[in-house]
Amino acid sequence: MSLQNQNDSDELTLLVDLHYQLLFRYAYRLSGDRTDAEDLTQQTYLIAQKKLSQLRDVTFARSWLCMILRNLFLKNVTQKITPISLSQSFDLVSEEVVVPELTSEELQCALNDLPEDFRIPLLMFYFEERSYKEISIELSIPIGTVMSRLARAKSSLQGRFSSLSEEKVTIHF
Amino acid sequence: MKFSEPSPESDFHSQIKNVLFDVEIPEGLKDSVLASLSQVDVAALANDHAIVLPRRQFLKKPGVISCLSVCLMFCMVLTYFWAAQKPVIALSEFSPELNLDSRLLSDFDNNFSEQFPVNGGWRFKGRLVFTNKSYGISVSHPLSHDAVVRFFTLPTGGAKLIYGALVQVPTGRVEPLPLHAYFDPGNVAYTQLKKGNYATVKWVEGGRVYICIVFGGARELEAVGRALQSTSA
Repeated sequence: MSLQNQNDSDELTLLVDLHYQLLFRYAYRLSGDRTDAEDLTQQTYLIAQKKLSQLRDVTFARSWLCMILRNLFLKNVTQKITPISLSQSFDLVSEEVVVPELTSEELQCALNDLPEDFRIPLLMFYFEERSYKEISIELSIPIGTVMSRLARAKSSLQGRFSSLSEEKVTIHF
Repeated sequence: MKFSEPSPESDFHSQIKNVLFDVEIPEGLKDSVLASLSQVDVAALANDHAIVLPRRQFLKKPGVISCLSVCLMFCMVLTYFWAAQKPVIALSEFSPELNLDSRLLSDFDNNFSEQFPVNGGWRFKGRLVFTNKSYGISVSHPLSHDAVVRFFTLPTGGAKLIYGALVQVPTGRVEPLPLHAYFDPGNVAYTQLKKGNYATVKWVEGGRVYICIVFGGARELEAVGRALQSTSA
């Protein structure tokens, strides 16, 4: 093995050490399935291994890996996405069924219920620590749309877990 | 509604963030990731060697190099001819609407040989008096000439002259080709423009398409025809 290969291998190992947990969590929140999340994590590192030369600064490794993972996920789910009718509306306030506690599983259920267009920016915000502007650029949507989608996604979760928030909002998608 | 970035101080924001990250990591995930990476590493190394060796051997064969060079040359020649091929022009483009004024035309660039029609009296000095200079006509491209034109005059007695122009284009540059193979004053097209009347006769002969444009009407054309006949006879 050449010196360059040895260096790459060491760098990859470091990237796995530092980020594999975050990537798995991100993958799980995106896909809602642990097996899929494991596959996504594996695939992300395999792609990272091929494209390691593109990573010029290790300080950007987190967002770089997250971006690879997100793209992988979006590539896999593109065919599964069902279009959302713009006239469809959800009245979360009226859902006065039993309000679940904010557990990891329940949060995942709430995330799964969110349309893809709303879930991705929300998870990018939390996991990739991206700004509105960066999300806007990454997803090729106007910054205003990013802001409204994040606000709606957050409101949706707040409505669902109203025990944690007094604010109740009606969401119109 | 005003949207703002979730405030870090917000309880809900903090709780969401905490719970989002509250995902149990499968045991052995890290090891399996590292194992898959190392497998690809080894496989990639093996592949690299497999690719480099045949490539070197391949390039050492002089026959292969020669074949590749010949193919490359052939492609370059084809590309050259393809690029040099000039577009085909509609026959109708060569009409009195062309601004046939020697003051506005440049000297012919001789990109093809000019030759007078064999049939008829075009090649003989007679009553038709041709200008010494040939002028170029550009139809498809402003920088190269598609046709060559010679102007002529025909004295008709007294001080009156009949003016005309003989345009010629290589047959490969024109379509459709005229049906006639010689100058036939009976096969004429008359045109009336603001600048005057014109009689046009077109024919194909000896690898050239000829367009004879006489400045005038039937009488002038008939005079030109007679002059050619008398010269050839």
